Amino acid sequence: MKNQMIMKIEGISKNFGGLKALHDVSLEIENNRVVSLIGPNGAGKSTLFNTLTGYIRASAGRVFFKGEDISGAPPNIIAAKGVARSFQITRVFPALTVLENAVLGCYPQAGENPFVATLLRKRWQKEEKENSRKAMANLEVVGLAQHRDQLAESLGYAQRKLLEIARVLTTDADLILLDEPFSGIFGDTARQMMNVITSLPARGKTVCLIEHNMDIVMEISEWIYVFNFGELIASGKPKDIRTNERVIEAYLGKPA
Amino acid sequence: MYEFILHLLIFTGIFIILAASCDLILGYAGMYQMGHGAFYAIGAYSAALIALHWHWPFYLEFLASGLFAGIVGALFAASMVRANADYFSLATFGLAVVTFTVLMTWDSVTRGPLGITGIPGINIFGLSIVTGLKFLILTALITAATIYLLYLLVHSPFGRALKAMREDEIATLASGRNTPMMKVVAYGIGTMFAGFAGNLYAHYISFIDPTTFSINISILVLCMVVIGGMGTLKGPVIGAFLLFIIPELLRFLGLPATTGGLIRQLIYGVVLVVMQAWNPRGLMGIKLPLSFTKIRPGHKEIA
Repeated sequence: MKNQMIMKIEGISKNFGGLKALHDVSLEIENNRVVSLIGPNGAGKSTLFNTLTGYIRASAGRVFFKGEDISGAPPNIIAAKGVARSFQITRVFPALTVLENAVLGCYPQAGENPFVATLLRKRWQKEEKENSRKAMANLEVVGLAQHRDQLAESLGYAQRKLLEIARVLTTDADLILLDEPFSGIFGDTARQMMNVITSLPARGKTVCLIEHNMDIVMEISEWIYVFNFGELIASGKPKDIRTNERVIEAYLGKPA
Repeated sequence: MYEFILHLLIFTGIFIILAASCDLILGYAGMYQMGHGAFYAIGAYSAALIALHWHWPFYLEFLASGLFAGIVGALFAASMVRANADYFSLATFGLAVVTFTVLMTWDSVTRGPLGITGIPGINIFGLSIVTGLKFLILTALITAATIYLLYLLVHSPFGRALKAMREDEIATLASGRNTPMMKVVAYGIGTMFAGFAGNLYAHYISFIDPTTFSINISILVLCMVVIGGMGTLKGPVIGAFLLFIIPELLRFLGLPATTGGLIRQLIYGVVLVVMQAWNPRGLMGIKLPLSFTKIRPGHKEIA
């Protein structure tokens, strides 16, 4: 089923007062792909992410995940269904260790029920071993395994971004939304992040990212959606987007 | 003197239960709890009323008073959980004030300012526990059980999820957790233990009136947690010990009663201010070697 659509977005609009942050956006995300949302600042990309993940309620339109209507569901329900995300401003849990941060990707956990936590310790401790193993595997993937017992607050900026990715991977979500994963990271770390992202479709995951670095977008995306002023203005393969007139216009302005 | 020491230790136990359970809400779940005394009161009054009117066996009455406080706590939290953190803490403060007023004015149940007298001692399977050493042993057992249960809770995935929520609620939501529900559960558990503490208090003192449960008790418990160290279990235990025992020792200075009371308030205030200025993490949050290296990095680090 290579061509199945994991997410369908139908006619999403979002108004903030008089501002049309999103206007009638419809798109489909294909299974096991790396796709990108690009566009100038304020084009509505992050608003779309927030709408898809339940942090913002759309003014109109529907969102389907694996054929199920998830429009208007709260963020935790959408996450539990298998849509994981990272944030533009990296969100890790500073006072928890790197391993704890990653293990928090596992959900549901029997030990999070206070009765099981206190009275049925055997039950959750067994599950905990499995969860830790899974989290360690993902810390290995992002290269943070040797920092497992450090507090997340001791990590640098780029490492925090990687840690957030490790948590997202540990959720076992099928669709992963990454909001500017490459902002502020360079060189080897950026290369490592690219390797992680491009390895995901082989693991049965679909990645949708928002990114401003065009070299990276063109290199890793299989499909690109271009936004401007809250509207989807173009979509296509990287080589077509590069030469699309409307896209060039959106970034550089109309020729005089 | 012996009796007095027993008395101090029994109260220390009660305050350890209060402070440690407050810390579950405050230090672990990250909800500013300024109304813990309200649930202490609910536990004490429900214990007194059950003991006087229904004569249940102690273990049933004990569980019922704690569960009742916890259920009221959970309902309160459920009604306020959508408010942001600042408004939530204001609401807990309001709850403490309202509870005091209800105790003062609901004469037909609480007997208002007269209070409830003649609360019987504890009788467990024929063993009568009224005062002194036996009561201390019972208090110590219940305190130890409370600390043990809280220890299991905070060192479990449940505790980890609470800490995550405290650190970043949005990211916790993004990992699938129903954070409003977690808040209700944590608040319910914390206030249940406050109810247990109230139960012990009512049986020990045998007379309860609203003045014990004014806003001061909530603030005292809050100070114990903050000074001892939020988000640790040792912290509130040490905080409860220090803030209860040290002011009691003032009695030996032979000050007039009124001055003693004022000095006690003064001590709480000064200690809180000094603690916040010197180390906002509380006593148990202190890591001297670490903070010294941060303040004065070695030459190598500068180069």
